[in-house]
Amino acid sequence: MSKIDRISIQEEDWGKYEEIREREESPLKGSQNKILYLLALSLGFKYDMKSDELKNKKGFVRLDTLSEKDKALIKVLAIEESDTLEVLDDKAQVYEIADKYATGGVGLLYEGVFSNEPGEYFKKMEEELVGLAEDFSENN
Amino acid sequence: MWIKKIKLKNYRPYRNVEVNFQSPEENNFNIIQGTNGAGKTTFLNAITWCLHGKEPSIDTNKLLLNNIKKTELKPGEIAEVKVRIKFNNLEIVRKARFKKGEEGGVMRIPPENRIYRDLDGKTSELKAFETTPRGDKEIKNPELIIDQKIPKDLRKYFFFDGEKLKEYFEEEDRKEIKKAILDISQISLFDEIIRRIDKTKRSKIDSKLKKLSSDVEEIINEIEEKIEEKERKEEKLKEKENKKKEIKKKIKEINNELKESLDKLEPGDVDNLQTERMKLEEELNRKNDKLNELKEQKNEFLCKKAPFIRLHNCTKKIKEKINEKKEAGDLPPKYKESFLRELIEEKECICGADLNKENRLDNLKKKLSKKNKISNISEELSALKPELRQIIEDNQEFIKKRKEITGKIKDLKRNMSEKEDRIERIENKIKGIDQKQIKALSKQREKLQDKKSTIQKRIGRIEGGIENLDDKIKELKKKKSKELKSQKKQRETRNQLNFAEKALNAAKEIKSEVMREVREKVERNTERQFMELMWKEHAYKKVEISKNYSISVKNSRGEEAIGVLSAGEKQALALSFMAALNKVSGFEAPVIIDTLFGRLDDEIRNSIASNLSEYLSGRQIIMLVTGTEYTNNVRKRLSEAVATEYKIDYKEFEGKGEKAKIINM
Repeated sequence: MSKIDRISIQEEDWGKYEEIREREESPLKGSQNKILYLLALSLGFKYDMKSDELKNKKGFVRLDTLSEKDKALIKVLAIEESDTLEVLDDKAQVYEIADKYATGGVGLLYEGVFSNEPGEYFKKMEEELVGLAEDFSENN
Repeated sequence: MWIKKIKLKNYRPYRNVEVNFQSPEENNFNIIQGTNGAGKTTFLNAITWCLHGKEPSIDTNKLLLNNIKKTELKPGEIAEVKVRIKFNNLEIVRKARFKKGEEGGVMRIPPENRIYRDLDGKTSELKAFETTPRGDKEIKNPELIIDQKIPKDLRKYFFFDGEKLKEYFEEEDRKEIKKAILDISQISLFDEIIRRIDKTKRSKIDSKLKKLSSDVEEIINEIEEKIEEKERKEEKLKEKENKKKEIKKKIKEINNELKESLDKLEPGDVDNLQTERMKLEEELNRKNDKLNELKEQKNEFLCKKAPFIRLHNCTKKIKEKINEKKEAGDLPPKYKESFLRELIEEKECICGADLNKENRLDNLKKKLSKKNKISNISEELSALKPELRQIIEDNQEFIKKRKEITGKIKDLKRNMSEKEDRIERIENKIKGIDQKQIKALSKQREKLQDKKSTIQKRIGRIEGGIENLDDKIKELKKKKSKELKSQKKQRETRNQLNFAEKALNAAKEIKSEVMREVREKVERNTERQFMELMWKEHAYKKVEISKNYSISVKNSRGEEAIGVLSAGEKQALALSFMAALNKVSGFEAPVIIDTLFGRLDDEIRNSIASNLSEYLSGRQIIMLVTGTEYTNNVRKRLSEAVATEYKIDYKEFEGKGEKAKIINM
């Protein structure tokens, strides 16, 4: 088993990421790949949009560029998905789960980025996050 | 003035002699008779020594001190020589002190010497006392009072040697006559006046004039030039001030015009507003950049936080799961799976116990089968746990942090909004104004202000120039005033010079006039006296003293007879001349004549004796005569005029010295 050194996306999704990162009207223009990956991942998770096993994998983010917190988040997702802590023992699986959700979420990301009026994307995101934060603050 | 008494003490042969004289009012002649060498001339010298400190015709190397007294003196002793002349209103005393040394020498003690002073505290040999009803009063400057009574220079015309009279008319008679007339005229006073005026004129006035410059005119011209220059500058200043005023007026007009155009504007003008707007816009741009930056920050914050917030509940759940494991004691594991596998393979415990015994190995195998994977990821879970805790805490801080950034954005936006409002207000104010005109007016005003500033600078320079000129003028005026003072001084000096020159001429004229007058008076008196003395009255008609002071005696035929005068006639002429000088001098001093009759023949002697009392009437005459000249005929002829007759009793003591007494005959 080869050692995993990067997280991957589906080759078909490369264009989306590229557009989000490069297009002028993109509110996320110039963002780092890892940011876009995690956003897609979180959207995939939020909306339970998990792809099947990735067919044409393409390395997207080198693992060493991820922070410990980023890695922790990926692990949380894997544990949650597998419903076991032991999943952490299998690093490949951990990142496979993450990749599936990210692939599932990239479509949503793309849509959110380009379907809204300029400025709307972050506004909506802010509202969403505030709502979530308020919820978990209340439940705290 | 007449001599009342003469006292001589230790003066040459006179050891202690007192001679009294009567008032000349009745009998003015006093005869002192003595043989040749008895001390007649010495007596005369005693008088001149007392008055003037001089002894004519005496060897002054000889000590004044009487020889007998000198011999008597013991070493260290002091002797005094004293001559006291008491006039009717004045007393003159002169003394000299002598000290005998240890070796027998006698020295005169100078009056400034301590020894002299110690005797009576005096430092002068001469004293004068004025006779007053309340007693004698010492006169401070005795020399002065003596000179006023019997001037030193005229003394020889009062105290004289008859035998020397004829010298006036010998070879250099003219010189002697002139000198006599000049002396008697007190011409020396005029000479002194002339000399002093001339000296003052040359040394003080002339040199002062040289020093006093007269460049006032030059200074005045310079002042004028400076004043003119100042006036020109003032004119220029005025011109510039007017120009400045005009410019100020124009600026005011422009301001008014601008104000009218911008009536609704706040104080200030379009330029200011525009400047403000530009500033505001610049500021707004900067704020906008900042806003964008903040927005970006916020977006980045949101982007970064979004995955974590979205997975917050999940994260929390996993964290709790890990906690549960920990609480269940699964974390950390008691031993590692690899360790169990190693023991089973080795079949021996690390303590050496055989694991084949007592089902130990089976038990281990059971444990291994029971051992889940947790033990392998326990380290990872341990490391994950704090990360999760941190994520959760960060998530819980989300609202707060987002609020902070949003607050910043809001503040910035509010600030920007205010600025935008201000910009809008400015735009609204400027709106509708003829911008072109305002710009033109503003530009014009700017130009005028530049011009005003330039003029102000020029005004400053002109004012500075005027100040400098004022200083210079002030300085020149001071100089002028000084020069004027000097000029005034110069005028005064010129006046002094004119005065000095006039005074000099006047003094010369007066001198000449006085000399002429004195000469004529002497001439007249000489002639009268001579005619009276001459027994051949008919033989001589005229005595003349010419302008060049040559004397001539004309006979009855008008011929010059001076060359043919006999010795007696010459003596008579000289005596007449002397008497004339004496009279003309104006001094009422006594006349002391030594050996008047000398070698005259009887005829002339008798004639002189007959007339002498007449022409010197009222004047005290002391005649020192020898027995041979004071004949019975002479005595008879003078008898009516003679008050006293004295005789000098002279004795010589061998080896000791001489002693003379004057005794009444």
